[in-house]
Amino acid sequence: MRDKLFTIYRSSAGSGKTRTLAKAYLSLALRFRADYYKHILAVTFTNKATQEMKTRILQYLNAYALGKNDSLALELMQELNLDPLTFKERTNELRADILHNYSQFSISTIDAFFQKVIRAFTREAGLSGDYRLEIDQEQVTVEVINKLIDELGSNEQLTKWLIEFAKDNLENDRPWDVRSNLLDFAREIFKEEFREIEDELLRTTAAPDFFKNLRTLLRKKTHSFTATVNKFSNQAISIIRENGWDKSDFKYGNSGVFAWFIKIERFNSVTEFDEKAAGPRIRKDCQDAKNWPSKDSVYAKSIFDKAESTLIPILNSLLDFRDKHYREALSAEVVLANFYAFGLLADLSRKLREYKEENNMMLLADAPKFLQGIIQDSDTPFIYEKVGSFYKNYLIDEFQDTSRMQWSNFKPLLINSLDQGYPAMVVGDVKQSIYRWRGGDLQLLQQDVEQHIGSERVKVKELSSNYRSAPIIVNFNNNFFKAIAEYAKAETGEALLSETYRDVAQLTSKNDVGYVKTQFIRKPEDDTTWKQEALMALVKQIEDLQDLSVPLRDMALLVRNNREGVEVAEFLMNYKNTTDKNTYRYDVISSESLRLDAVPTVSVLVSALQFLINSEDSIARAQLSYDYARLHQENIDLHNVFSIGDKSVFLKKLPVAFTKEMTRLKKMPLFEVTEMLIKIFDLGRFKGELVYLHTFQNLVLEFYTQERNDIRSFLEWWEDNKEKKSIQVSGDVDAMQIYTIHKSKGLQFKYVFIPFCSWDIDHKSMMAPTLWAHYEIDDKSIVVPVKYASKLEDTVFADAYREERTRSYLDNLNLLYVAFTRAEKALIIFAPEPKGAKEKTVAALLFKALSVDDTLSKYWDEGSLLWIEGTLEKSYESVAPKDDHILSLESYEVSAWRQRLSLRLSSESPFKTDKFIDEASRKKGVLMHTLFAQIKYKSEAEQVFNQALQRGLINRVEQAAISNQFYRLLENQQIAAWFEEGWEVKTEAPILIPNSRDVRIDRIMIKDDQAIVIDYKTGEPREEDKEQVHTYMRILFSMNFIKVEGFVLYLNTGEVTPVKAETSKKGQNQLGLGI
Amino acid sequence: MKTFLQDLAEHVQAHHKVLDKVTLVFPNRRAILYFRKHLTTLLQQPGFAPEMLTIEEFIARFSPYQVPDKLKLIKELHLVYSAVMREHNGAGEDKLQSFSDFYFWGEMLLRDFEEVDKYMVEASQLFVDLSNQKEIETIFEFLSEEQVNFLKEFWGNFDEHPSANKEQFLRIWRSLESVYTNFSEQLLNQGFAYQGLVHRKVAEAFMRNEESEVSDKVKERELIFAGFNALTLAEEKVLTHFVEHFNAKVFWDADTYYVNNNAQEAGTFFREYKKHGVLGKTFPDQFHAGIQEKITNKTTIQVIGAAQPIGQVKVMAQLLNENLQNGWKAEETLIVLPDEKMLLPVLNSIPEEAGKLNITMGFPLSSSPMYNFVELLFDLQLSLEVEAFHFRPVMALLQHPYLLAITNDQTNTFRKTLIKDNLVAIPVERLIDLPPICKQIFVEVDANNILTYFQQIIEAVGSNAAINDLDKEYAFHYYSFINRLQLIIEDNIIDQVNRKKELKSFQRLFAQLVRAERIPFAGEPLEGLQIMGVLETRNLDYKHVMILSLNEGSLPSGSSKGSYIPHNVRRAYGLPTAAHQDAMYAYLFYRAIQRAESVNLFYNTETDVLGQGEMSRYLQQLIFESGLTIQEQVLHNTIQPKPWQEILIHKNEEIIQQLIKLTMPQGKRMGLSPSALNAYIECQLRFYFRYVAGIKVADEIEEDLDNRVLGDFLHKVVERFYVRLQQKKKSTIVEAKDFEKYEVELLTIIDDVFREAYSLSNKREVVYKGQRLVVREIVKRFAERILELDKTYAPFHIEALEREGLVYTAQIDHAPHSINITGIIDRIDRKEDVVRIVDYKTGRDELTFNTIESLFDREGKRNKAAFQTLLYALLYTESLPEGNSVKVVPGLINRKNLFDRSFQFGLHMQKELVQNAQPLMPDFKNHLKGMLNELFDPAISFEQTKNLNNCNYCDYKSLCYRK
Ligand code: SF4
Repeated sequence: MRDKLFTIYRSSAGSGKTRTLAKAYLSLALRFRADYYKHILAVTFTNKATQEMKTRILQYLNAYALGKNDSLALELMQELNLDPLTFKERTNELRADILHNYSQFSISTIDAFFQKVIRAFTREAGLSGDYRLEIDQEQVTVEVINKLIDELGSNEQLTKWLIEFAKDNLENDRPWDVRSNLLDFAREIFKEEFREIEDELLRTTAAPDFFKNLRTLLRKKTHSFTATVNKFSNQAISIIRENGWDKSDFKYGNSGVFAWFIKIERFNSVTEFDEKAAGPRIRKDCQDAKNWPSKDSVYAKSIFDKAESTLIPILNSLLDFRDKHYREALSAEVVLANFYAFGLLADLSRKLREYKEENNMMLLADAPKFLQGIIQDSDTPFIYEKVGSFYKNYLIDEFQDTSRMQWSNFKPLLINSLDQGYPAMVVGDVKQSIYRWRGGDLQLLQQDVEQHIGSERVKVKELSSNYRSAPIIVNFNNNFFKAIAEYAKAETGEALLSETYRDVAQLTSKNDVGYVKTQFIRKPEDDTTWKQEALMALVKQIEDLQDLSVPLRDMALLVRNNREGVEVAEFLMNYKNTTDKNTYRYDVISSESLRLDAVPTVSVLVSALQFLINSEDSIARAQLSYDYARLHQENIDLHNVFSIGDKSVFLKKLPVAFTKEMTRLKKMPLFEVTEMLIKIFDLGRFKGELVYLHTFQNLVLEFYTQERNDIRSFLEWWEDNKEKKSIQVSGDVDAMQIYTIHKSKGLQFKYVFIPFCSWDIDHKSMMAPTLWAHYEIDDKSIVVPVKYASKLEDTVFADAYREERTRSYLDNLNLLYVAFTRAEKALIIFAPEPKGAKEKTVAALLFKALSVDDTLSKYWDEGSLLWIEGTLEKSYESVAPKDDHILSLESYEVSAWRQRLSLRLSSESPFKTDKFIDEASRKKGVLMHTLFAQIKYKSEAEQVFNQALQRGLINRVEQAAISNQFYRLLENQQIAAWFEEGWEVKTEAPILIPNSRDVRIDRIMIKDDQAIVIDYKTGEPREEDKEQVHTYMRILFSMNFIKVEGFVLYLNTGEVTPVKAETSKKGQNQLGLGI
Repeated sequence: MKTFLQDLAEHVQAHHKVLDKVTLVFPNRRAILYFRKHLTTLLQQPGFAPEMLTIEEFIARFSPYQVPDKLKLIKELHLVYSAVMREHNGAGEDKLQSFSDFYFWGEMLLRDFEEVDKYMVEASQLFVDLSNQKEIETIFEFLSEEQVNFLKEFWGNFDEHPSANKEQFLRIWRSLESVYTNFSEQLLNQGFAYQGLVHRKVAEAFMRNEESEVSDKVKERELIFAGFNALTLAEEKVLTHFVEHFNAKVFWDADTYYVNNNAQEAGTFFREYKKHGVLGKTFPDQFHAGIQEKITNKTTIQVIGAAQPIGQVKVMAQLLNENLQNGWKAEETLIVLPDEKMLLPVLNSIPEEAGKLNITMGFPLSSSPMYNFVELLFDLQLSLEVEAFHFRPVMALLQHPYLLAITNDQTNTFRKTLIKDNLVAIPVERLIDLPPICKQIFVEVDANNILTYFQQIIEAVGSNAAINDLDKEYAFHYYSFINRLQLIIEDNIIDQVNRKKELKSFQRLFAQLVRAERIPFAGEPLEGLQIMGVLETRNLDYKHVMILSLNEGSLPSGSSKGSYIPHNVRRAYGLPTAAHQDAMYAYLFYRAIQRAESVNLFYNTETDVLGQGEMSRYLQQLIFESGLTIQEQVLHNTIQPKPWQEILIHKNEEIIQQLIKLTMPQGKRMGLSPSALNAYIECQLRFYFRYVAGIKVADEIEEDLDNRVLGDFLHKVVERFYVRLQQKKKSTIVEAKDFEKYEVELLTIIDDVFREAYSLSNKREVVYKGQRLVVREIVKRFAERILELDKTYAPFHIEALEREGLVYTAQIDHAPHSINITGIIDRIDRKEDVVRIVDYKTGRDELTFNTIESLFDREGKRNKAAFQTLLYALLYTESLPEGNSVKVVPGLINRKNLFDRSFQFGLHMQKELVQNAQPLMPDFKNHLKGMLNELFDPAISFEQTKNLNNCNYCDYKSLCYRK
């Protein structure tokens, strides 16, 4: 039997997953040569996890290399059968090898690994090599849709379709502007789920008139339904009207059966006729003609008769018809609801492709699909060749969040190494699968992977102890999740939920006690105030913990999304600013929740930029005036601040330098403008906002280097993106941390708060996803998009609907699981009291479990809506990092460098003077000078000129002119003599001067202790020319030449000016000064 | 501290009597500069300098070939490549038709060729297809076993039926030998060669011992090579040649720390050269031991992390400032920037105390305003459609600082007209009456002439007197850059058919090329604070060294830029691999700090989007294994933003006066408008901002066709339809027969409305494209439906269309006591005794409201549209003569009810249709009065609304910080 080379670790929260991975890594890396680690690829889910894994492994190695062995070391030694000394040596070598070949230390995210492969294949894959990787799909989608709309008018088919789309929307009370519709739809086609069916779908729908025909078919179904229903009710109504009866003649009057017919007659959609539309009153009571007339009606008798004879049969035919055809008709109608956008699928997909090509980019999310084209079963070694890395062992973390396509890219690589006998492993926990929206598919871990690999090669290991949380927390979670998984199962009727939580019970391993508290808050009508209360309670709890001297860094706040994070962060910061309890601290840090545009310094910057490009923009003026005043003044006269109508009055409210520098500012590169604005508006002195300024400037820098450098483009970009931008911080600082639950995965904290434990378990109708469901119509089966909604229960899409609902339940349960399992010492939850048993929120589940479950309800206090077990305590020594670990800035240092530094202005620039006329002759002069200076002897002249021609320095005409001039000069006997052989000639020879800059003399001729100095000039003779030669001569004298002659040679005219020698000692003294 | 070059200078001074007989060869120019400086300090008197050359210059002496610039080389390569590919694979096979598309790939290929030559590999052996060869060793007998194994490892992957990937690879691979050969031949024939080729030719000549030429150039000279590491094979041959035959000396700039420790990749090459038969002899017994000294002396090395590049720069600036005050000398301080984009941030942060600066990196041409200007010209040309430019680039250009300066802002009024006329597309002919420079800019250029177009404009800008010297300098650099480009791109590589697409890809290439251009800084190279890139630090030593961006990807810089030659093939032929580059960077890093007395190192704590760019391995090496004393710190500042406060405006006298002014007739306005009142009810502060402080959204050209624009169009269309009808019939009666064949009429009206909205020419047909087309159809559908309904309602009598001038005067307690309220009513019609007050809406406004009171309730759910129409009803009833008994029915025609089968005109109060608004008026007036009383009450301040929903679409959202 083969070895079971492939291990699946199922690891519940806190079960030491990271340690398991690290151990697996080290055990492989230490088994063979020191550089074996180059063959191991560990794949983690997030960048952060990558970092942590790398650091962790290096830290282990470092400790072991120093002989500091822990339990893991002992396990490794045993496993590898190594004695301590060898172990120390090996770890030492491995550490050195990793540190010095760090690029081979392959721990990376899936995305990073995929990009690496794609980069190696750009040429073969027909990508442009410098393609840019785009993360932000939203922006791309918007652009693509705009481009599509722009095509209207030039693309007939598209135009027709889109116009109908708009009109259809208009007439059905949906926004006529189809762009938002399209945007919703386009988002769907970015999802991996769609990418899997994309090609096929595009193929089937490409048939001519596919959509038109389908639409006709669907419409027929819905129309015939509504028409028939209308017809039946119309029959009944006519009979009633003919008899002159009125609503009041019928039992229940306005809500009686006649009114019901009238309502039905007006229906234009199938949906309106749902089960409720024919409630028990109609279906049961009205079967008896007694229940038709109103007692007080004078026509009671005739109504009774008519009902019995005609009306009840009509009613029943209507109901029969409805029951027979409703499902089919409604199915058609839900397909129609999304139909127009669906019909643009091919166009969207085409436009997207064009857009990417035009902008030379690849979407990060495209990578897996793209790779499928590259990775083929037989190609694994070739891929390694191209990438330059040769992996043998794969360790994949967080496998439950891996997507199907990602996995199908890994699979061939992995199987290839398994075939060669190299072990591999995946680690994951289906309960922590919370990235379905990014394609994560827990089914892979749950069952598929085992199948794909072949169960004969697979061993499954469960990590069943919890090393993270205190026993009370572990037990709480054991009981709680068991209970709610059952509830959820009962609600949805799906076993998947309880199956997923089958292994939830963990053993405890810690010996401190722990604390769990849930506080429900009575929820008044208004949805917002319960949050305020929760936050106040949170503050109290934070204070209590501080009383126990828990440092802030040990507390974490987990929120459902960034918006909530912002709410919590802003509340705490405002609280800190307004409370007078200065014994407590409320500092928070978060890289997601502190919005950049929330502070006045940033606001001043942005509005100043706006003002610079449009001084008429009065909102920018107001903003600038207001925020500037807010920063720098104590008591502001607001009306004065907002009186900005008059530009000069407005400017007086701002620093003088701003007005003065305005023109210059407009011309500076973007980054420099913002720096200068920080200086001018003195924003750097607000230390509490420095982080904001840094982050902002960082964005500016990034924009400036990657996009454009003008203010206008930046502002446009900022407008679209400011809501997504928050500050970035680093390091271990003493503040509470805010995390979204998604980002908290893999992390742990001593004290965990969940301020708003209230999210929905089912999709909200506004945010409902689109399902790609199979649909049988006209004997064909196609995949169609339908919007998730409970009415799908009554359609042929019921299965897809239920499946999605179960998934949604699971997503939200899993979120709860991730959130509740982060805590080491205490878990403190705030939730709104649910409104009723029907509420579909996690708060409702929580409420039910805590108040009803046998084990849990022991600690429930109905009156105060509190559930508490354990005691809040601090049972550990906190190790504060060293004081000097943190470095703070005093201000934002800006200096104007332009005054201190200039660019080297080119001497050749024709723009220097307003006239171009001199250009030619000036250029000729310069050339003559350079070329003549290269000629030592007459015999070399031709070669020099030819070379210059070849190098493109001169053209033929210039060559002729210059060489002519040279020979003309030689007609002068004196000059000709200089160019004869016999002298030792140095041209442009640098002469070093002690402690000074060197000089270059155009031509020096030497014979023993004699020297002749010649300086070339091209302009008019000037006195200074001689001065210069004088200096040269002095230098030569000081170099111990006895006889020195000097001349100025005017190249244009051939004039030779001799310079008198000066042998005075004075010259030497002046050396180094005069030059 | 003594520097390497000082040591060298002392040696030269001591051992070489006649300096001008000495030739020194260095890796780069900066080493020469510093060496010269050190030498002069040792001199007693002036003297001829020794000859000092870079290795490039030195080698170039022995070669007759000229090295052209990269652009030219890639251009040549493109020609060769296309020809070869066509020959091998037939036309149309390869996508890289245009130069722009080819450029990147060409760069990579050129790099590969450079290496092939610098490492003297036979292309004919390298670029062979061995996919079907089993016996590689017999083919290449001269290769070592190890080399053969590498080749086998690679080619062993290929089997009979290669996958598509491999096919694709081979298809290109098989052509490369021809590309290489043809390319070098073509160049050599023209007297050109790229650098690698020059090196190779020279080295080969030496190896063949073609002495005569060589000795001629160096005879009787004393040769010294100094500061080399990571020599290419060609360089190695050259050096060896001169050491062997000309007794050249070699000086190595190294430290024992990495030379003597095999684990240190920084010393890789030195350890190799040490074993080299010839070069090995040039090694001294012992190298400098600067790093060991620091370990022994426990010199503290500071390592500082910051979350962002800017944080790094600012913390560096702060430390620098402190240290300068504590006695550091600027000229003894070096700042190293491995990441070039840090230059500008660093420049903006160097404290004044540092005095002079010397920068070796050059100012990026793409950071000049000229760059924006040219980008805008691109945008402009890209925006051209049917003889009209899009307004965005036009406006941006007109407001570009250069044009503002040149035109002396003469285009100001013109810009205002553009806004007034809402010219989304600006016809070319409207742009010709502007100053001359504009005439040059706003013309359509065909794609072939784009460079000439740029050239002429830049020339015009550059030579304009209003432009200052620095900008002229930028202009000049652009000018010459474009000149160079034009030489390359002379023959139509821009395909006219796909003008836009080609322009766009050319724009990308252009941007890429410009980004590589630098303007040198003027500076005193030997004075002041030094700022350098990593490569420039070679052979230079400073007392204080600060290095930024110590992250993977910056130092060492990212893995090589890509190569088409696979890893194992590279190894087989001794071509450099990633390890080679790593070793080189390691050397640069350690060398930069080896002699320094104080070292401060900075890194970014955050990784990039793909999780790369973590703390540099060198820092980790220092921390984990060096034994150096490291102080690690992280930048953090407490986060404490200025708290936000509620905005509350107390009414002072000035405000009251302004309020009063609002009620008085002025121009067209005759009093407070319904929208002002709506604003006030929704949010007092919004009212204050808009109507008291006069803060409003800046006028702009409106391009987006949203609901508001649609509403505006619809109003005009319907109004105009009836105006025309009245004119035609000379009567205000509307009958069913008036609606026969209205479609054509409607279309003309819609055309007219679009013409007006975008100031389109009357002479041309209106072109509907994109969203306009949708809007036209929607307006049409809307209008049709309104007319259909009117047809069923007919006959009726139209009393007024867009009725202005009705005024209601309310009496209130505060000054000025009587308040005028006015508004424009879309339509008033009458049928028998029913007068309908009609308001067209394109949105989904509700048709029901609760009570009159609810219309004034700022906290609850409020029906804005009902308020407005009831106010119109009030204006109307007030204008009726006493005792008039018509029924006034206010109502909306909007999307919500218009397409309902059971359309019914009118509002619903609770569930009842309002069949006559007159009885509601007293109550309405009362509440109105109450509200006005509040507005004019000096004691009541303007507050922000408590209902956050009101803020969602408010223009003042950011002022209020309600986001
Ligand atoms: S943002 Fe809100 S509070 Fe501010 S003015 Fe607008 S509506 Fe009023």
